[in-house]
Order: sequence, then C-alpha cells, then structure tokens
Amino acid sequence: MIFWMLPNSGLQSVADMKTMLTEFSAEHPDIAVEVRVLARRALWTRMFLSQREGVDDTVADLVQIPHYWTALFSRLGVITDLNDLDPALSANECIAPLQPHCFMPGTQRVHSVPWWMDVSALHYRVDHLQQIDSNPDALFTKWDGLLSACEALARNRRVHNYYPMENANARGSFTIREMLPCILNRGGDLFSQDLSRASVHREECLRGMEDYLALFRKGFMPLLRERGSLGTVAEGKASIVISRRQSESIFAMGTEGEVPVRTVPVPGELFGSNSYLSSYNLAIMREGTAQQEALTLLKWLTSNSRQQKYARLIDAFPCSNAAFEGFIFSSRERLSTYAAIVGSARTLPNITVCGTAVKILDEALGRLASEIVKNRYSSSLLMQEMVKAQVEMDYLLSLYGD
Amino acid sequence: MNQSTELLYRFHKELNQSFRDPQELLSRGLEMIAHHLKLDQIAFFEWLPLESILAQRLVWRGEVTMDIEEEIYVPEQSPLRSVLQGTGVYLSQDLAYPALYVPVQWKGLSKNSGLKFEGAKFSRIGALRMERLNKSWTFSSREKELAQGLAEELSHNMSHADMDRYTKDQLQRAHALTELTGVFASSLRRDDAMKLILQGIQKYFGFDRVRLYLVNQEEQKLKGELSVDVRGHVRSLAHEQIPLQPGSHLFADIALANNSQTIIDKYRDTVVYIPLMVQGKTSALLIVDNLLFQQPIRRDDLTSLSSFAGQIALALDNAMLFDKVQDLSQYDELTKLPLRRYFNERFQEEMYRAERFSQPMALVWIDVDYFKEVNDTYGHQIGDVALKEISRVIMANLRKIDFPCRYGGDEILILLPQARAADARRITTRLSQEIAEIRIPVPFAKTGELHLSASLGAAVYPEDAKTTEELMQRADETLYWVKSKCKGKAALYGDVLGPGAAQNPPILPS
Repeated sequence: MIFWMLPNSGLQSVADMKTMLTEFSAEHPDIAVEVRVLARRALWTRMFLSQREGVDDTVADLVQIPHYWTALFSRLGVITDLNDLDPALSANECIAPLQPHCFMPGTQRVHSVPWWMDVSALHYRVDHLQQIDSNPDALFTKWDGLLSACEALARNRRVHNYYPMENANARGSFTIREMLPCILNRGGDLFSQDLSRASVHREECLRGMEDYLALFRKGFMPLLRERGSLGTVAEGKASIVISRRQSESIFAMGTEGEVPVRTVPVPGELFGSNSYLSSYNLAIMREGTAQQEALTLLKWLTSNSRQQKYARLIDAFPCSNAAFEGFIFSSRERLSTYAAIVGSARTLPNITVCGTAVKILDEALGRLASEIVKNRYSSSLLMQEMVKAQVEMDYLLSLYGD
Repeated sequence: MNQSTELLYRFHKELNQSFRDPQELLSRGLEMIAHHLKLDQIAFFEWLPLESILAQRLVWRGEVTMDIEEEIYVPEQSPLRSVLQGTGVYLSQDLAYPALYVPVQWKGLSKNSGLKFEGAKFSRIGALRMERLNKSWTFSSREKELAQGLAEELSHNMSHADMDRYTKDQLQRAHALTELTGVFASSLRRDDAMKLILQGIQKYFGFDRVRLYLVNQEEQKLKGELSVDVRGHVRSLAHEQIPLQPGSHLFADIALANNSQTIIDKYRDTVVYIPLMVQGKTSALLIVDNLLFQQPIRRDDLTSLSSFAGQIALALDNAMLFDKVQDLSQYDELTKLPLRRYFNERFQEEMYRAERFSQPMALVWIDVDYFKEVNDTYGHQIGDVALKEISRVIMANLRKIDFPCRYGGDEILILLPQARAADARRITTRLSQEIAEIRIPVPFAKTGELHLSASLGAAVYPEDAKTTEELMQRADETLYWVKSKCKGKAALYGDVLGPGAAQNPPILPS
C-alpha cells in the first residue's frame, strides 16, 4: 500500500512516520506500507495526473491533503467516498470547525478525515523580550507593537545571522496561509462572505498582507535564505516566531536547558486577534488498488490515541474532540493560551475552487518574494498581483461556484 | 586506475542501469553520491533564472529521498552564482556544518515546457548540496574534486534520462494523435461527432475542460454546444449564447477575427482558444483549459491542437452537412414537416410502444379543401403559401410528442401518441377552427385574400383499429366521409362510421 504524505516534520517526516508504523505493522502484519513524502506542489500535480490516461506514475492508496482540498478532489472524483467503504465513518469525532471539510460540498458524504491540525500563534522567548520590555505580552496586542519589539531586538542583539523573527515557512518564503491572521485582523478575507467573489484586491486584505510583508522588508525575518544557515528561537538566533505549530518543541530544544517561551495570539489590529486553523486530512485515492488496506490505516491513524501520539511527534495538535480536549485540558497554561486562539480561529472555506485559489495566490506571492529580496518590491506590485489573482479567482468561482 | 577514477567508473556503471524515469534516476543518484562521499544529507536544487532562486526539488537523508521544498535567493556577484555558472564548487559560509554546493547542468525539458519559454529543450542548471552534519568533518580537496566528478556523471545521465523521457512522450503523443484522428473520422452524426471529438481531445491531452461553441451566422450568435470535464463528463452549453458582435465578448471577438491562429489567454497560460475555420471563416471556437489544475498548457499540446484545428473543423462541418442531408431526406423543404418515409418508421415505432405499454394512440388525416382549385386559380405560389400556413398552424397546436407529416400533395397526417378519442376530438376541432381562420393575402383576388379550410378524419387505437394499416384505413375512411358529407369539418371514426356510431353522428364544429 502506498501512502503519499506531506513533509509534516521536514526532514524527519519519514522517520516520524516510521515510528508510528512500527506499531501499526505489529497490529497488521499483512499490510505493508510504503511512505512517500511529497511537497504540496508535487502532491497537487500527482493528484491531478492520477486520473489521466497515459500517465504511468504509480498512484497512492492513502493520501494526506490540506483540509481545503477535500471539496475539489471529491468533486473531481480523485478521492473516494469513504462512506462507500465504511458507512459508519462520520465527521462527528473531529472538532466542529473542521467537520465541513470532511464532506463533498452539498452532501453529508465523508471524503476525508482530519488527522492532525495546526493553528497560528505567536511564540516568543521570554528572556529575550524581557530585556526590551518588562511586560512583553503587552507588546503583542497590536501589530505595531510586534514591529517595535522587532526593531528593539534587532538593535540590541548583536549575534551573527540573528533575526528578531524565525521564518516558520518550510520553504523559507511565505504563503497566503501565513498571512491569513494578518488579513483577518485587518477585516479582510480571501472571499466575500457569500463565497461568490474573491476579495483579495480589497484594501483591508492588502493592508493585512502588507503587515506581514513588512517583517521581511524591514529585515526582521529571513527570506529565501539557506535553511539551516539561520538560527532558531531555541538556539537564541531568533526571539519570536509566528507559527502554526505548538511551542513544546521550542521548550525542549533549548541547547542550554529549557528555553522560556510564551505563546500569545497573533497581534491584531482593528478586528482583534484571529488565527488560521488548518487540518490535514486523510483520504483514499479512487484509482488506488488497496482501498481496504488504506481504510484500515486511515482509521488507525485517526483514532484518538494515534492522533495524539503523532501530533506530539510533529509538534502539532490532535483534532478529534476527545484528543484535543485531552491536550488542552492537560495543563492550566495550555488551556489559558489555546482556548482563546482556537476560539478565534478560522479555516479556509470548503469550496471547489479553494485549492486552486490558494495556488494562484501562492504563485503571486512567490513572485513578490523574489521582488522583495531584489529590493524591487512596492505596494503597487502587490496591488497588481492581487488584482490579477482576483480576476482569476472570480472567473473560477463563476465556473465552479458551489 | 586510481581510487577516484575507479569510484567514478563504478558510479557510471551503477547509473547506467535503466531507470523508469528521470526522478528515479535522480533519487538513486543522490543516494549513491551520499554513500560514496559519506554524506549525512544531499539535496538537489534547480536554478530558476527569472526569479534568481535555487529551488530544492529532492533531498536524500536517512536512506530515503523526499520531495521537500527550500528556496534560496542567489544574488548576482555572489560566489554561489559563480558556481552555478560552472566555476568550481562553493562551501556554504552560513551553514553551521560543512555543506558543499556542486553544479549540475543537463540538457532536458524545461519544467515550463508550456507557453512561457521557447524551445522544447534547453540547458538546465542546478546544484547539489552535499552536507555533513558533523561540524569538524570538512571536505578535503580530493573529495571536492570527486564531488565534481560525480555531479558531472549525474548530469550526463540526467540528460539521457530526460531525452529518453522526451522521446517516450513524443511516441506516446504520436500514438494518441493517430487514435484521435480516427475519432475525428469515426462519427457522421453532428451530436455524436461533437461529443466524441471533445471527449477525445480531453482524454488524449488531459485538459481540465474542453468546450465547443458554434457560430450561427443566421442568428448572429456564438452558441454554446458542449463541455467535457476532466472526468470525461459531457454537459450541454446550450444556455450560453453570445451575440456575434465586436466587443460583446472575448469569444465573439476571436470568432469575428476569422483568423486561424490559436490564441493564448492574455492573463493565463492555462486557457487556449482555437478558432475552427472552414473556407476562411470561423465556424466554431474550441476552448481548452487547465484552470483548476493551474498547470500551463504545454507548448507541444498547443502545436498539436493547432495542427489538428483544420481537421476538427472539417470533421464538424462534415457532421453538420450529414445532418443537413439527413434532414433533407426526412423533411419536406416547403412545409418543414417530416416526409412519408420518416413518418412510416415513426408510426411503426409508436404502434409498437402503444401495444407494449397498452397506451392509446390516434391518427388524424387532413386534406386541404379545394386545393386543386386554389392552385389553378391563384397559381402554385399561392398554393405553396397555403400549405406552409396550414403546416405552421398544425405545428403550433401540437404537443411535443405529436408527429405530423406531409404525406403527399395536400394530404397531411398527424400521429397523436397517448391520445384517446376525447384528446383526438379536442385537437382536431382546434385545428379545424384555426385553419379556417387562415387568411392569405391575394392582391389580385376580388376579396384581396384567400380563406382556407381543411377536412379532418381521425381514428383511434385500439378502439377503431389494431394495426397501423387498419388505423390509416379508418382515418382515411373518416376523411372521405367528412369530405362527402361536411367539407371543412372534422370527425372521428368511432363517432361517424364505427359500430357504435349514432344515427346523427356528431360532426365537430369549425
């Protein structure tokens, strides 16, 4: 059985998965699992090509997808209706905001099951920040406060290759998903409320994007640099990170013992603090040849205890009600930190065009990243790219609106 | 043979095995280099010149290769940039452990072998990043030299693998196109031809969507016909009608340009418009897109489609001509009513259905009164107008399932499936009345106009007859009865001639 997964824990992805599969193989010695790690771009291409004739690439049986791909790939028939394989499978187990992302739009048929999730938050090193302000939490109530903190940190900390902020983007660049909290905090969004139009060209959305881009433009966060060449919060070569992962690994990874890290919501502006909640779901490919085996592994991985175990391994969050409650109620600190963050979190909509729209936006942002590092960026460039993206997204919505 | 030469030779031999595809070769190559140079990690990067970015495509670590992305901006004048231009190797200054960048350069297909770049093959550049996570284990000069040798050998094999893949793709394409040509010629009917052509294009080129719009010169419209999606599902586009006027719509502008050139969408390289031309005029517009996938349409596909455009246009034109000929052989040119042969086929089918599902059916026989006199007095042109008008009235008063026919001369038959005697009575009465209201202007006539009337006789299955022949005979007998007794009226066989006919049969008013 072939399992296509995303690089959930970077270069550790296969090793982490093997840890999980050791237990699975002991329980199911008859099911051999071959894990292939694919970047989102490659996975997207392979999923599309899976339904085309004459493409001789092997097709996976089980596949991990971002939650907002469910609508598209269920509609295209790339992933199978899980209720055909197991009528008892339901979305009720996962936390409420993720439930709509399990279904083909307009139906109650489960096509993917959430495996784990992440949610954006700001983590900072208390020891670093206390050197510039006695109450660092207060700095992070507004976006301007974050910029001021970064400015002060850049001035005060003279360490080679130090940046006030660590770039949590795995590619070393940025995507619309990292920008979403800023966009939401300015009152913007990617789509209109009724999901019939794109709104990425609107002023509030552009201002949210500009907020995030300022971190790169002002040199507070590295952009398109060698991964590994830069320090992390844990190593003391950065002091703040906006990430969707837990900060537990930052505590654990301190080279000189435990690193004091605090987690707060992403600083807001006019519309408070919003987070982006994203789940990664498991689905079964229609063209796969081992669907029953895939279903066995899907159910095994999404069970409460395995969700919890894997989420802990990769520093993410479990997403079933029971497992998430187990996580959040395990300590007073977690409860106080994450109750508000998850409470204000938003997902991307489960509409057919969402995956394509995100791809269009990420390509536009890729071009902007290149302009930023070449010092050729301007707000008008952002505007141009977003107007083009909006036209494209509107066109898609007119063709494939749900 | 010294140690390095021997190692390089071994590497060459190992790589020379046949690999299924370039990705597999690269994956195996990285693994072998890692083993030969005792690396902890090795990554393959591709150079994106427009963005000045080195983009990681594949990384080997811990006995597995993974597709994990990393992007590095490489400014001009930087040492890494010089390495990419082919001068030596570069030891990373920023990484906390020894990491050596070694250039690779190979002839291969562009990742964008779509619309943005010219040329199907060109030299591609990249780099291998060889990493040892132990800080103190640096690369010796001999190892750097060996690293370059291994990278060169890998480059050489990548060129071969890419070219093999290209050749294989081309062969597959040629095969697909030959099959597609067969599809174009395989169907004569218009609807079937359009469906098969669109499905064939979608299947062989693998587009997200293929759409077809036909130019209707009479109505000055571009009419949506069919759309085939990525799953081969066919949808009607009949609801899409675009005025064929300059500026009304992009599609209209393309059709009106009467230019056979394939057009790539101004804003997207995922949409292509292909005007289909017949005798120098655009007859249809074929639109293919990869909008959902967002994969640029490949240049090769574009070339193939452009060269097929003429053939597709001809196939469609032939299919439409065939339909026209079919129509001519089945429909009367003057009245647009079906002809006798077509009627007879349909009559048999309807009788079979009526018998099988125990449904009623009626047959109406109409004869225009004094039609010979009309022709003799006012001329055949007026006679033709009279027949056209009567046909129009008949068509306007029938249900969708009813089937009229010009049976010959001024005789018209109407098949009324699922109609009982009461239905037939209602329809014939209405027809009789509306025909009597027809006025044809005849300037040279005394009254300036011609009044028409027709006699109608109807019979009903199964009450009056059990077979098609019997039903026709009963309707004909009834018509004869009306003609002789009350011209210009309508009657039912059961009412006037059947076993239960009354002494004073009801003649339907007109």
